[in-house]
Amino acid sequence: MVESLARRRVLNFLDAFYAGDIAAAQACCDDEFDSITHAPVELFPHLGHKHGKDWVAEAIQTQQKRYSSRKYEIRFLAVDGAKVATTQVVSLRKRSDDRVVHLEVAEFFTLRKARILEHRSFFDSFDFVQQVLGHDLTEAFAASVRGAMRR
Amino acid sequence: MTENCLWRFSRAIHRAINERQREEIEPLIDDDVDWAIYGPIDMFPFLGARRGKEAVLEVIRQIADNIRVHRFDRESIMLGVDSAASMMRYSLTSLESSKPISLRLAHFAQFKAGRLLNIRVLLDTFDLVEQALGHPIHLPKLA
Repeated sequence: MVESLARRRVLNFLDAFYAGDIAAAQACCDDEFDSITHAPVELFPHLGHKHGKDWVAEAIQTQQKRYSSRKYEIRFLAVDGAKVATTQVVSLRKRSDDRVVHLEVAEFFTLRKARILEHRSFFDSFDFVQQVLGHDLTEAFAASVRGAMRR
Repeated sequence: MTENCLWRFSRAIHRAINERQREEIEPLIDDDVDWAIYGPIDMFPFLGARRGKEAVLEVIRQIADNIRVHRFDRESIMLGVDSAASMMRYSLTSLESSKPISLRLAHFAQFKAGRLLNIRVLLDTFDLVEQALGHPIHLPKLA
């Protein structure tokens, strides 16, 4: 019962988030909502550690400003009591050049009283930065990284 | 009570990395395993996708040749009958440079008959690159 409610709540949250329905997404969250997206905050100031449901609106609006379409497809979903973990493939169409960037995202949700209290998110941030910039960074840094790892 | 596959796999892979003992890990990997640690393979050749037991054993050997695990903590874990997902915090050292690296990662694993069939690992790779370089990468704000 708890698990099916938790599963449904997270799926509703993801549907609302990517549909741009701020009110519906926020309604899935606890008032003490706490989110950490492990990503470079110097480049993505709306990511990192955020507290409160206002972040949900900020994240949706920031993405809507930058991307003309946002889609997700769940690849894996596990539920354990009030915890839910997902991986999904996210496709974002950039407004700047109409190119689509793809990323695989892992998210962990902890619910309290059937609302999302904690949200943790991971993705291959280096690859995402390259896709958003529209050019490869490995040439600029690969030799330096390999050299630094040998020193 | 049967031990979840994850615990045996976890012990075996950490032994394989730190002690280069492959005997325990070999029988725990399915012949048709699908393995991916997402990240820049030009910088860290032991990242990326591998298919099949031999390729996965080889990449575990590459990881063992490059890093040592000093400490790991599971911050969250979800266990299913044949699956597991967890968030982990690692303290590592690059063997050649002795450079310390700390990272958090998410992993999702599926098992079949006690053997690893599929694993996906995701982490903040931009942070990993910066730690390896030893300085921040300066780029304009993106969003």
